[in-house]
Order: sequence, then structure tokens, then C-alpha cells
Amino acid sequence: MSLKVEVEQKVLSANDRLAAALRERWQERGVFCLNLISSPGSGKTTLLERTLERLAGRVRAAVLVGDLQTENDARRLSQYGFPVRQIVTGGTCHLEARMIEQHLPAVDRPDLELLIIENVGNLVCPSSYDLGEDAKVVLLSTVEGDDKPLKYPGIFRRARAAVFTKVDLLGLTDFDIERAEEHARTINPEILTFRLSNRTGEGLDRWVAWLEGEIARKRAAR
Amino acid sequence: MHELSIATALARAAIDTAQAHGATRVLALRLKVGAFTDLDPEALRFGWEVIAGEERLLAGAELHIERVPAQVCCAACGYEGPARPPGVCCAACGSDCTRLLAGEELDLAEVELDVPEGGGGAEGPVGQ
Repeated sequence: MSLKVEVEQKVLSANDRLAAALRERWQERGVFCLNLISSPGSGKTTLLERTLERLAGRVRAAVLVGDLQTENDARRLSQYGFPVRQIVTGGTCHLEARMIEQHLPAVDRPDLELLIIENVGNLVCPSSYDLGEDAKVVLLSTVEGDDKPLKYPGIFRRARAAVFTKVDLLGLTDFDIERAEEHARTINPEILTFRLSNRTGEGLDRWVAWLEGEIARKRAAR
Repeated sequence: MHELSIATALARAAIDTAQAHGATRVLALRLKVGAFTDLDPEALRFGWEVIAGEERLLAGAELHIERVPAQVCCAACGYEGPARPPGVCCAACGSDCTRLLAGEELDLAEVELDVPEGGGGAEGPVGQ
């Protein structure tokens, strides 16, 4: 006998539950948690380096960085004096909440103010996995297509902010930054946008100021 | 290729549902995927075949994927219905002051089971 059972449940509900517990923990402790997502090569690790440089001595931060295979990124990031832990996924294309929970003790400290998660380089898969973050931030570099917000609406829809990187190369490629921002807002009218260059430092002040504002707001709401 | 992780989660949910209803086999699953959920249906089907092939209860179970278009409620004109593709703007007045009602789903909607006549030891009433 055939029986149809209405289930109506989120497929990733197990991950969502773990993420909700992490989010509650950050809320209680007033820790701001950022989840950085982009294609490989958009400049996530370099943006993090420039950011950590500026936050040194000002903010108590920790970093979890996901990668398919190597520990290279953690080595690059560990020179700024913050605890860094590489999560080698062994081929899995995204981070999941259980991986955050598992690796957190290696970088956590009681007075933590900022946890930055650098996701695996991938614009598709990480968008479906809640990691308990306050904000997903998507990076798009000017050497990619300016229609990517329309091609990957999942991440642009869920991101609080979009950072357009490598703006020092504008004019050398066909990337139209106005059009890219417009596409991002078509998918997500409330998305914040940043234009910056990790090489020249252009736009970094505004980015770091936003981040520090969010950290302060989260601490004040404890 | 997070589709394999999703297929694994689907298999877990389908097996749980089958066991709760004393089913001998899962016949089909209906999955809802929103317009703003990035997923490759072919990769998911492939992942599903691999995962389902390893589970006796899931052997041969079909996976139906239903795409859910973006639905919005417009704060400017009160319109409620499909958004203007490809984004979330109001299809009536073009305003971007909209609230998303549907389009971000990744939900298992329904599981179709083969249940032996007479309940087959179901733990609850049929249709629970």
C-alpha cells in the first residue's frame, strides 16, 4: 500500500540546529561572527590579512579558515598575533556548523570579540550552510563576471554585505562595477556594498570601520 | 558538490520517516528548492542515486525536485505574488521594498512509502 507522508522539513535542519546553538552562544557573549564566502581567488585570505593587520591591538579576534587540502592559509594568517585554526575539509566544498563547533576550542578565549570564518573557496555550496554567523559577506573580484550576483543569487540573497575586490584593476577588464552592484541589489535590495583593493589599500578604512562598528554593537547588546 | 551532503541528509530523513511508519520501502521523495537556493539538480540526482543505492529501504526511490519561484509582498503597493525575475522587485510597481514570502526553500516536502497492508507495525496512525 502506498502512503504519502507530508514531512515539510528543512533538509539541513540538523545543521541549522547546531548553527542556532552557536548563534545563541555568540549572542550571550557578545561575539560578532563573520562568514566570508567567495570563489577561489577573489582575495578572501588577503582581505583577512589586511583586516587583521588593522585590528591588531584593537580587537580580540580569532580565525577559522576552511580549505580543501592545505594549511597554507592558516600559515599566512597566523603572523598577525591572533589565534588561527585551519579546517581541512578533505574535499568537502563548504564548512558546516559541526566543523565550527569541533574546531572552535582551538581558537576560542573567554574575552573573544570577533570570530572570522573564512569559508572554502566556492560561491555555491557554502550559501546553504548556516554557521551561526551574524553576517555572511560575499566577495567578488573585478576579474570575475559582473553578472555573478544573478548567476549565484543564493549567496547574494543571504549576504549582509558584498565586497568588490581588486578595484585597482578596474578598466583593465570588462567588469562594470556599477552593474555588478545593481545586480547585487536586484537580488538583495538591502545588501551593503564595499569597493576595495587589498593591493593599494583603497576602501579598507571603510570596511574596517564597518566591522568595528558591528563588533561594538554586538558587545553592547550582550 | 554539496549535493552529496544534501542527498545524505535526504536519505536520513527518508529512512526516519519510513521507520516511523513501518514502511518496507521508500517509493519517492518530493523536494522543494527555492529560486534563491543554489543547487545543481543533476548533481543532486547523481548523489541521490549513489546514496540511495546503498540503502535497502531506499533502493529505486525516485527524487522529484520542485522549483519554487520567488514570491514577494510589496510594502509600496500591497501586491502579493511572483517577483519580477531575476530578483525580488515587485512585479506590479517595480518597488524593491518587498518582503520575500517564498524562494529560499530547501525542504523535504513529502515522502511516499510502501507500507504493508494492516499498518505493518506503524508506530502511529496512518498519515501522522
